Order: sequence, then structure tokens, then C-alpha cells
Amino acid sequence: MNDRNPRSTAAQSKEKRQGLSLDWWTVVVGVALATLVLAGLPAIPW
Amino acid sequence: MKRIIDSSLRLLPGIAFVFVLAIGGKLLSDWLQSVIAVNWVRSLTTNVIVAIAGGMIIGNLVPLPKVLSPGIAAYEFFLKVGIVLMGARFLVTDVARLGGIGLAMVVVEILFSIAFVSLFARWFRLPGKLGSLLSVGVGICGVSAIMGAAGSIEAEKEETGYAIAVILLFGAAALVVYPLIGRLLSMSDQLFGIWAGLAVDNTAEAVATGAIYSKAALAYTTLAKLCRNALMGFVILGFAVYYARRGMAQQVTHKGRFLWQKFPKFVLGFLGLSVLFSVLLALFPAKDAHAYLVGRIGAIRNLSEWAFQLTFVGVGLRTSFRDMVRTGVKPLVVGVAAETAVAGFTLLMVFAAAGFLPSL
Repeated sequence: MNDRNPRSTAAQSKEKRQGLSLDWWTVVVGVALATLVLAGLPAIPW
Repeated sequence: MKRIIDSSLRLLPGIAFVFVLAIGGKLLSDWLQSVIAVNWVRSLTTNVIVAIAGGMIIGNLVPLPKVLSPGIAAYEFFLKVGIVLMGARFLVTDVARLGGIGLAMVVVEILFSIAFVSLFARWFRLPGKLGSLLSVGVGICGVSAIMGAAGSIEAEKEETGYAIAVILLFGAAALVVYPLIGRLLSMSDQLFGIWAGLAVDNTAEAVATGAIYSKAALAYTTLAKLCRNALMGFVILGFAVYYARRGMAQQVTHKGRFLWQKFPKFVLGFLGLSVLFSVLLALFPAKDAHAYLVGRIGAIRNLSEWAFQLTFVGVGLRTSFRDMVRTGVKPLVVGVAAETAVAGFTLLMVFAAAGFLPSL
């Protein structure tokens, strides 16, 4: 993302306001699911 | 809070639709696999093929209500969650061994792709930035890389749309062509998996291509593809600096911050779980504890299989034959030449490196 680009700066501050990016959410959800399974969450059959 | 609830409600119908198709596809595939006796016909009814083909048929033949679109487009979320979960299956030492060679191969592949596509784009007189977007798409990781580069080099909307259409078209073709070539050449799961990870552009289609070949190939494909994804920021930065120097885009002032923003964070999730489970397996070598951990890793594998199943349905639903026909001829010719060259080059590279590639 370009630092001097006003559109990018607006997008960045919007992202900051919105909190975590979607990419980070995939990490949060993935790690949370793995932790729950490690703690004993029953396996979903495949 | 209200915003989160609103966006969740907007996504819900499409996600529910994808869930129903994913579960239906899995049940249908299991049933077909149990009743079909002829081996080669049965191999065409795996959950991956049923999910993708089912999605393509429904997406292209059934007029779906617009309310489903946002949720259907969210399948990339499940893809990335599936990849993060997959990290638990890999020992970090294996990731490091294959990742080291993988990164070296990826660097060569990216340099070749960028040089070849840029040259071809110039021959066919495509607009400069369209050529760059195609280079980034073919060299690194398809749509995400194109979207990231488009903002940085200030490409036109139309150029971005063209580049994405070309990448998606060849992603769909790869699902059929790559496994056929792999079978014709009797490639091992290891060689095919690495080849698909190096050559198929978009992460979702790369993962699907590996999965169509075999589960073992999917593991190699994912690792090779993650190496490509990890280098996305460097290539986009290179293009951003190139266009800025020619006065065709704004300067990049904080290169470190730029690289961090472009780095795909789900790769960190994958590595994190790989490290966590490798450490746990090393810390608890006793038979019972080890068996418990292996069982839990199996349960996590099931979750990642379901996440990929949702992705495959999404890939099928998104593949629009109408949009493919609309893609212009010139970018298409450049695309065909580039994809064929990259596929051939990476195939040779994988065969040449076969003796040095570690097994998982």
C-alpha cells in the first residue's frame, strides 16, 4: 500500500478503525479451532 | 458491534448455501465411491471433483439470488483457515527442509514468470501495467497478488479486471489439465504436489489441483504455494518502486511497513500451529500422550478437510464460463503463452530437483 497515496491512507485508517483484517481473522479462527480440538472438542467425522 | 452483526447477516445466506452444497457434495461423493466398481470412474467422484463440478454446474446454470453472493465470495476465508489448520499436520523440521528448497525454486520460478510475461506483454503491446499485473498473477499467487499490486502501481480498474479474469480462467483449466499431465507422466505425489504449488496461480485452485491428484500431493502443494505467497510483498514492492521511479505511481516511503502489510498473515498461523504441535510431540513422547496428540491432529485434519470442501464448492460457484468468454483475445494469448511456459519450466525444474527434494 502506498504511503503517500491519499486513497491508501484512507483505506489504512479505515482498516485501523475496523480492527483486525480478514487475514488476521483466519489466523485467530484457525488457532482457536485447533486449541479447542486439542482441549478435547469431539472430532467432526470426515 | 452493530457493524459486525450487519456484515455477518449479509454473509450468512451465502455461507449457509455453501455449507449445504459442501455437505451434500461429500455425502454424494461417499455414496458414489461406495457403489462404483470401475476404478477410473470412481476416481472421478472424489469429494474435490464432486464439489467443484457441482459448484460449476449450479453457478453457471441456476440463476442464484444476489443475496447469496457475499457469502459465496467468503470461501477464501475457509481456504485460509484450512491452511492454518493444516499447519498442525507438519513437523516444523519438515516445513523448514522443504520450505528452504521450495523458496529457492519459487525465486527462480518468479523471476522466470516475470521476465517471460513482461516480454510477451510487450510483444503483444498490452498496456504496461496490465503486463505487470499478469506477471504478478502468474508469478506469485493469482488474485490476491493482482489486487495487492493493482493498488500499489495504480493500475486501471479495467486492467485489474482483465488480469484477474485471465488468472481465474487458467486456474479453472489447471484443475483438469495438471492432474491429467501428472498421470500421463506417472508423477509421484511429491513431484506433482510441488509442481502444482509452483505453477498454478491462485491459492484456491492450486490447493484444489493438489487435492484432485491425491491427499499426499495436497500437502506438498500447500507448502510450495505458501512459499510463493510469502514472497508476494517483495515482488509487489519491486513493481511499486519501478513505477514510482518512472513517475507512474506514488513513492513507497516505508518499505518495511509495506512488506508487512502485503505479507499473507495466514502463513504465520500455519507456521504457528506447526511449531506448537511439533513442540508438543517432542515434549510428550510417552505412548499415551503421543497417541492422544496424534488423535487430536487427526481431528484437526478433519476440520481442515471440511474447510477445503467449502473452498472447493466456492471455487466451482465462482467459475463463470460467461466471464471467460468475455475476456479479450490479446490478454488470453499472453495468458496461454505465459501459463504454458511457466508450467513447462517448473515441470523441468521439479524433475531436475527430484533427487534433492525431501519427503514429508
